[in-house]
Amino acid sequence: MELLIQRLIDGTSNGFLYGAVALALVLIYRSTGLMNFAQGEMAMFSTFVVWKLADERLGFGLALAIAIPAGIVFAFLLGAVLERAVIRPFSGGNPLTLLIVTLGMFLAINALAGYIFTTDTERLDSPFPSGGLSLGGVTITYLEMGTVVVLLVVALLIRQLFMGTKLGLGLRAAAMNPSSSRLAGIDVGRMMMIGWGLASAIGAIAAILVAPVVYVSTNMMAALLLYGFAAAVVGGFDSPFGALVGGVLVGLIQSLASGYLPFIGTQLQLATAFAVILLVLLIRPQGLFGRLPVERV
Amino acid sequence: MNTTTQRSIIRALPWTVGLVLLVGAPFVLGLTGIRGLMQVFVLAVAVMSLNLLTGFNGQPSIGHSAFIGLGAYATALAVQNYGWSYWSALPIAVLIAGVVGAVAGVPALRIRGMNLALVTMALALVFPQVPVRLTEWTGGTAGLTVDERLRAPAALGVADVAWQYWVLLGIAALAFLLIRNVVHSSMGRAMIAIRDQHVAAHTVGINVRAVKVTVFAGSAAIAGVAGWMFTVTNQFVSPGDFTVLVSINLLLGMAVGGSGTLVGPLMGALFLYYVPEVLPKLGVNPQLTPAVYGVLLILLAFFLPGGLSGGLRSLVRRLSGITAKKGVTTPQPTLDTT
Amino acid sequence: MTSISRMRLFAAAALLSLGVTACGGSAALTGASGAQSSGSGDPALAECPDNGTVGLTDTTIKLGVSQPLSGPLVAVGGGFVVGMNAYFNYVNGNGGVKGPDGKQRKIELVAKDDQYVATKTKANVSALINEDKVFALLGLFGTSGNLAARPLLAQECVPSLFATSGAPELGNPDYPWGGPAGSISYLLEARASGEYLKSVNPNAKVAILYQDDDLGRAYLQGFKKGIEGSNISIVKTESFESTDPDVGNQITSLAATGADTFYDIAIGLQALQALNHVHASGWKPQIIQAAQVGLSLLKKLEPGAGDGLIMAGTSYDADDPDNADLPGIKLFLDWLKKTPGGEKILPSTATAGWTAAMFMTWAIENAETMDRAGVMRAAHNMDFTGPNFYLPGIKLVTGPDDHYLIEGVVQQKLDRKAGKLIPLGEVQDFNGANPYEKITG
Repeated sequence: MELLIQRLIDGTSNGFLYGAVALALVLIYRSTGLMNFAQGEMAMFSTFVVWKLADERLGFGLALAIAIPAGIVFAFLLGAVLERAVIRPFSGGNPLTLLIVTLGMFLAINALAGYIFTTDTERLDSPFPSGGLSLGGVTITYLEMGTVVVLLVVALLIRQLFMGTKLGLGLRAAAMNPSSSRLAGIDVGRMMMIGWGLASAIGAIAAILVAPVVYVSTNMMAALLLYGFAAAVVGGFDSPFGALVGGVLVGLIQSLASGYLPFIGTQLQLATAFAVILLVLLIRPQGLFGRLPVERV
Repeated sequence: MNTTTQRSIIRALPWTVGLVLLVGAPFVLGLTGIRGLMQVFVLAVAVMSLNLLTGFNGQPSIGHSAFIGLGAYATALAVQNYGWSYWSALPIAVLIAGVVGAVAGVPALRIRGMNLALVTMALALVFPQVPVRLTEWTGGTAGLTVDERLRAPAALGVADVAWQYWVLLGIAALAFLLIRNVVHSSMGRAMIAIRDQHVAAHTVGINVRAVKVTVFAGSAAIAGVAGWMFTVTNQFVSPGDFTVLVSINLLLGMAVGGSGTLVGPLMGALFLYYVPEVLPKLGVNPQLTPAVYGVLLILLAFFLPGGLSGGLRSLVRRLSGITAKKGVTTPQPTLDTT
Repeated sequence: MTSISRMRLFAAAALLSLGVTACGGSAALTGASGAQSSGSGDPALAECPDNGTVGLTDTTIKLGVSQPLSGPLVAVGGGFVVGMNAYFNYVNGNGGVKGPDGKQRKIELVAKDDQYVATKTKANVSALINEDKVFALLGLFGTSGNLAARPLLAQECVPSLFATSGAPELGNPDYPWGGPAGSISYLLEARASGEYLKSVNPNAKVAILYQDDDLGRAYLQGFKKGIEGSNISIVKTESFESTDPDVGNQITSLAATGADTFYDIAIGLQALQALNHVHASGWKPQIIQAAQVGLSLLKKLEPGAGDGLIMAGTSYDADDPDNADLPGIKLFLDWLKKTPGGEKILPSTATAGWTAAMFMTWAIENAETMDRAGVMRAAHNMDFTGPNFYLPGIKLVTGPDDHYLIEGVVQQKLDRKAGKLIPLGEVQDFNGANPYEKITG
């Protein structure tokens, strides 16, 4: 019983991280109709910025309270700049080109991070106290608790932004119907930049929260990205709320499958993500909370 | 001589010269040069197979490394563990990759566009774990060495490497001709129609489902051939040779050469093999090679949307004084999305 | 005749025979493509081409290496090559290496990048042999790369010595040209850990985490061999893939067993994750760590995690200022400083390259004949006693029935506060008692 509860806790806290990556993917999908395969690398790069600012031996030794917000601001700017400089020239163009451009970004950002920072594995302190609470045989760390709280707050803020502010209205309008929005006086280009900036910042938050567990390295997000995609697929690619729920579901599936299905065991965890993506897309392509697009000639 | 024949001779000339040069290469180049060209042929067939699916039919795949890996592993296992000859392993490699491709093509009927890119990417991420899971049989991460090599027929009296080179060249040429003929057939027109106007293709009576599954299977089968060529060239397979990065590089090669064109994959293969060879000699830190790839790719996509082959074509047109008709542009290949 | 010019000739012959179809000469030519005997009577040399002195001039000797110089492992490969350059600079600074023919030669090193992709390693080896015409290779990186290149080495009869891999397979006596490896075999290290556990806790209950590949299986096999004949039981094993983002789920399962000993067969990052998760879980077993993670990385554990773990060691820590005056390390640090790139890196990342270069130089100096076969044989008949990093009592010996160079360890305990590994006793010496065996797991 304790073991089961421990697995549920493990799965949920991992799931929130997948959900955060998914949230970033969903924001970009909503604003540009694009699956951003470079999302994980943008988050990794921003986490390296935090590490560089904070590390005492190889960096500037700033407090995390400064380094983390600075890294998130950097991530926002990075997303906005990439949208303007790299994605915009191809906007409205052909999706194959855009797909390949994001893959190009993936390669370039990964190589540059290794070149500029390091290809070593580096440690980034947790923003929360180390250790955790133990009840019987079950342990929940402060990092796990903090991760869940931070991501819930971020999700609520995003919801508030989209539903309760004029900027949010503009973002939604620009994403849904760019040409009508332009007629209505909305600066669609600016909205796209903000959308990318937000997505990049959220991806960075997820990466900073996961860094104390997976450490900071150029391939820290490689495996996480697939789980993020799986979460986005489960939740529905146009639903921010669904992204978090999808993340938790994927985290639980992974944790329980590795604990109780001997064949899948721990050896085919990626295959579990693959199976989830495939099944959901086949049975319910819009995901749990998404809307099905209408086909037009 | 009338102008049509003149023009067709002019058009055939570079091909003939190129082919003669390639056939004669073993007499001129050293072992390293020949081995390099063999790698180029493997890449060329791999990019061709991807281009058939993605460039001509609009079904994106980040999973071709898995199909190539299947062909390569099938060959290596058949030759090394079961004592088959390379030639008898070839149909097996094609069949296995093709069947898995057909199976993968069925979900692709429902999953399209970016979603398909995602599913195939997941496939590419999972594939390298399969040989590791079957370590007793496949050698796991340490890989599998194939002791036997593809031997030249004794009657020819040529070195085995030269023979392997010619075999690979011949297969690459056959794959090229096969794809050219398919693209110019009614099947090819159906493929392109599905890519450009998915729903409309339905309404004009194209059996979209059959075409898409067939193309997926065919593309995977050709990727399986590339896998066979890989094992002939390297006599070694390991999971590290078939990672998702290989798939991404193939997509880059396709885009750089010009997707949805016949010549593009050849240029893409040359790019993929020689750019990483040349960059360090130009003083670029090898660590930055992927960054150079990425940046070059984005620049090319912007300035030369038709890829190198498109750029070459317009250059040739301009030089030969044939101006493109105003207002008519070649439609760029796209994804089958909506 | 070199293999390239021979190939050109046969290709030319092919063209002739195509032109003159009735010509029956081509079959004879194919017959000649068989190997020439070197006449030494050694079966390993029986099929060698006549190329034993390629890469030598009267004043230079050319050596080659393939390491990951780009990609995720660039830090490993880059440090390795700097270490090699440092040692060869030292040798060249003293006039060069003196071979059995009495000539002193400067060493030239050609380094190629393989991105840790085995087929690239193989292509590099082929290019180093055929294009760069190196005399010998050393320090090839990675198990898969070494295994991929091995048939080529046997075919061309080029020694590739002191590889950077602990795969037990590299001691396979059927492949003498693949030479003794420069690292301790995974299997032997794990066996030593098992024997140590047997001596301190003969009734231990062990939970094991292992990487599910050839490395993890070699460790498992060795550990089981080490605990043979004791009351030690393995209560649970969990595996992971090198691509898994985290190993937390596995640790949850292992912690639930409450075993008194935890054997962590993980490399680098995933080893750290496992140790952190064990620490956070409240499970307090005696940890045995596979020696696939250096002290500099262990210092990146969460505070308190991994304290008191036991890990087999073979050499002094070159990063520890307390060791800077040991003769082997002093020489190394002096020359590392003078080598381009040496200032920037952590010394411990360059020690493996330095050591491989040092052993290689010894093999050239102690060869009986100044050719490839002579150097290869010397590497299989070593008794190295010069200044080095290895802990006292570890013998650096190979012989006709001893295909592994490094065959001793000292168990060490990690003290997180001091940031050091403290030796727990004498060397466990397996020299000559470590035959080649296949991994069957």
